[in-house]
Amino acid sequence: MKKFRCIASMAFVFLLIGFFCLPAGMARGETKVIVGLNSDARSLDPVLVMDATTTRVLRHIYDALFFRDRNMKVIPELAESYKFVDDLTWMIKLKKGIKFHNGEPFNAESVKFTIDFVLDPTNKAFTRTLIDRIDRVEIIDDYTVKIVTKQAFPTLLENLIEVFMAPPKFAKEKGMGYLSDHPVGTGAYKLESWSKDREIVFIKNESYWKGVPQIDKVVFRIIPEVSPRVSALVVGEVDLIPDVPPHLINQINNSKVATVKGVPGRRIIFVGFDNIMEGPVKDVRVRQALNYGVDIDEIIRTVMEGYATRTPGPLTPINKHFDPSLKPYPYDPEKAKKLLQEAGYGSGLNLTFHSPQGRYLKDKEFVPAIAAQLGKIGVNVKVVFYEWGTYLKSLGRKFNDIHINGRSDRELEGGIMYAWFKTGAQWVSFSDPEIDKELERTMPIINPKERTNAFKQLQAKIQQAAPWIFLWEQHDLYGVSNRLDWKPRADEQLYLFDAKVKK
Amino acid sequence: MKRFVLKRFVETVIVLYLALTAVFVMVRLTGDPVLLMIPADATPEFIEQFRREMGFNKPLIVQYGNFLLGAVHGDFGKSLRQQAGAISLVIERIPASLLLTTTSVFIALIASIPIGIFSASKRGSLMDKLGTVNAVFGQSIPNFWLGLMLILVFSVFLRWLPTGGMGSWKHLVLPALTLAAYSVARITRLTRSSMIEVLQMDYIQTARAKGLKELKILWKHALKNALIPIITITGLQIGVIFGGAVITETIFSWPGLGRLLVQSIYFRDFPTVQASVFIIAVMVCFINLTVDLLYALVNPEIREKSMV
Repeated sequence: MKKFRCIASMAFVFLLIGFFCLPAGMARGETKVIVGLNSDARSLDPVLVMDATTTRVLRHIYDALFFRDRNMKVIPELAESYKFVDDLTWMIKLKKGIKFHNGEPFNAESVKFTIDFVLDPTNKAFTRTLIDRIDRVEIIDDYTVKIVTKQAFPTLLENLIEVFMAPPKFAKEKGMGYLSDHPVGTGAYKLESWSKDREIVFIKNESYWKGVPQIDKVVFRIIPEVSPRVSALVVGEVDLIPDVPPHLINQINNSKVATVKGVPGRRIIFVGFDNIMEGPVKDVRVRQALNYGVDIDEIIRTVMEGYATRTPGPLTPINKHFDPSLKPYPYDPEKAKKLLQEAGYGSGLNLTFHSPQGRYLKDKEFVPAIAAQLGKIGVNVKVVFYEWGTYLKSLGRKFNDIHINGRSDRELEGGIMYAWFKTGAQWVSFSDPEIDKELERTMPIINPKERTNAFKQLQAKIQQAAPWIFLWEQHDLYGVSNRLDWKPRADEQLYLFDAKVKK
Repeated sequence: MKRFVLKRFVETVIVLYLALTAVFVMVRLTGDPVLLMIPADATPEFIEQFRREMGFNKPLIVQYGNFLLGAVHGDFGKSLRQQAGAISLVIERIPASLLLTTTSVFIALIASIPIGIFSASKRGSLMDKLGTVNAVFGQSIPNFWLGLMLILVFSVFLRWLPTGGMGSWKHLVLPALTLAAYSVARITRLTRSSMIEVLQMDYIQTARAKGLKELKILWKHALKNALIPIITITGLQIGVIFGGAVITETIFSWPGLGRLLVQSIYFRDFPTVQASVFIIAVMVCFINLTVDLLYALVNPEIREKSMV
């Protein structure tokens, strides 16, 4: 009995210690918005890491030289204006009078310091991949920098959107790594506290150069599971959650506390072909047949419940060089069968369909639906599902026949097609010398008109070569509290600076 | 006794070594962390360079050697997901995990022992049957389902308790109950059978014959002996709960060790996975060792048997 008492009293002591460690509540009377995220930011350093969640958080502390407006157009942010001097040189004028949270002025030195830091491989900054075509940055005067690139870099401005500006004096004094936990930016919010994997609390920057934010405090609370995240929204514990699964939409809309808002996002979903390995999809007729053989509009309407927008070719309306006159492959099973017959598969065809599970919106549902439709044109499809990490290991290298892929690229310029279709590029299992040649010719074109025209032709060529079954762009679904006036953006950013709490 | 302690200590070291090796091999079978970390439009050269910088291009045996050497010094490397040492991330989580574990064990004990005793003393009664049903449910309901149901009832419908997170005692109730469900069922069944066994012993019959009150017989004479196996199971149960709170912590956004482990696995954050598994293994071994030693201390028979 003594032992039992001993265990019981020890348990009590642990409980007491635990409660004393818990944080105190927050002050009343302030406008506070709580965002429920599925994972924590990996660092609050401006340039070191860049996954979707971290960037969503960082965007509140830091600004960049350029920014996307609501229509996804690239506009100057910390930059005032830019001039394109020649194929390799850009002149960027900076806004004056902007200060970092610690009072340090933002100027040409900040730009040079940040970009030099990113470009130095020893710093292992992930953002290096965005701007590694930059050769050097030169300071012309306090508020003008010259950026010289190693090769033509038409997407420079766009790629600078996620290179957040760091305060050089502070970073040199403390070391850039210090910013990981003690961020200092020019942004709308300042860090108040960060309890890892629990919550990040931001407080508004009273002297923000764009104006004082209406929301006093922004809290990012980490709720890893989707079901509790939705529960937290419908009981009013959180005000905003990204990535709502379609089957929970009604629960949110019926709650009278929150509403689901959707926006066509930048993630495109497609069925990729592997024409590098030997197999039936090496034949372009087979690839075209599969494009004719899937009733994509029907799948969007039924399986996807309308939360997807069809893409006619490789690009979507949010891409800069999207060709709106390009018509998608019509659903034509007869034509599909004819093409298969011409290719020598009139008596049927067996294919393996590789897909991740739980990675893309409703993948577990739409993949069998596509397989079933292909069955109708005589293509016998065997579906194999994988866990995402395992899938990633084989993607672009080891999947024969057909596989599902989704891409969400930061770059929204037409030039992104290079990363999607160039032989040997990461994740790419398709090779067409004609398209390679065309990509090489188009990529360095700087003149905007010529570039748009070239990309238009390229989209048509790619559609004909059918490296994918062009499916759709996934809609990003957000659960938004009715007390919050906030609109979703196509680039997955939450950006609460211009949001308002309804009085 | 010294030899017994030494033997158990050596065994513990071997278990820890095997746990470390197993986790090293297993995490490397699951995928390439570099591919999960880099942006989709990175060039193959960039990826290769990162792989080199992270040290993932070295032969596996070299990585293993470095890992063991580091582990001996308590250095598991830097987390790939967050900008911090893996072991410090793990240590930060221990208080939250301990709080949840001790609370749920506490709930399990105060709920299960009285029910177990009552069931044993009134065998076949309605309460006993209810206790049995309860035990079957407790052991068979998956705790992710139970957790979600508790959120639905107590947070969404009744609005009594928060859906998750850590902040006040209210945040602790649902995860602790979810985690305690299995232990309550197990300890109830054990208390019941242990008490039934003791209650049939001669000295209890003697006590009854002497006219002692039933309550006194149960609490003072029977429970004392019946408690021995319960203490052992509770000790083991603490280890199970500590390492097994993975799902509960994830559902309730409880920032403990289990959740860190899950997130690190998703991210292929090898150093943090290895450090978490190591710390959990150390805790479980420590608890088991303590229980064994205590047991041997009070019961010489055990230590003699274990030396044979």
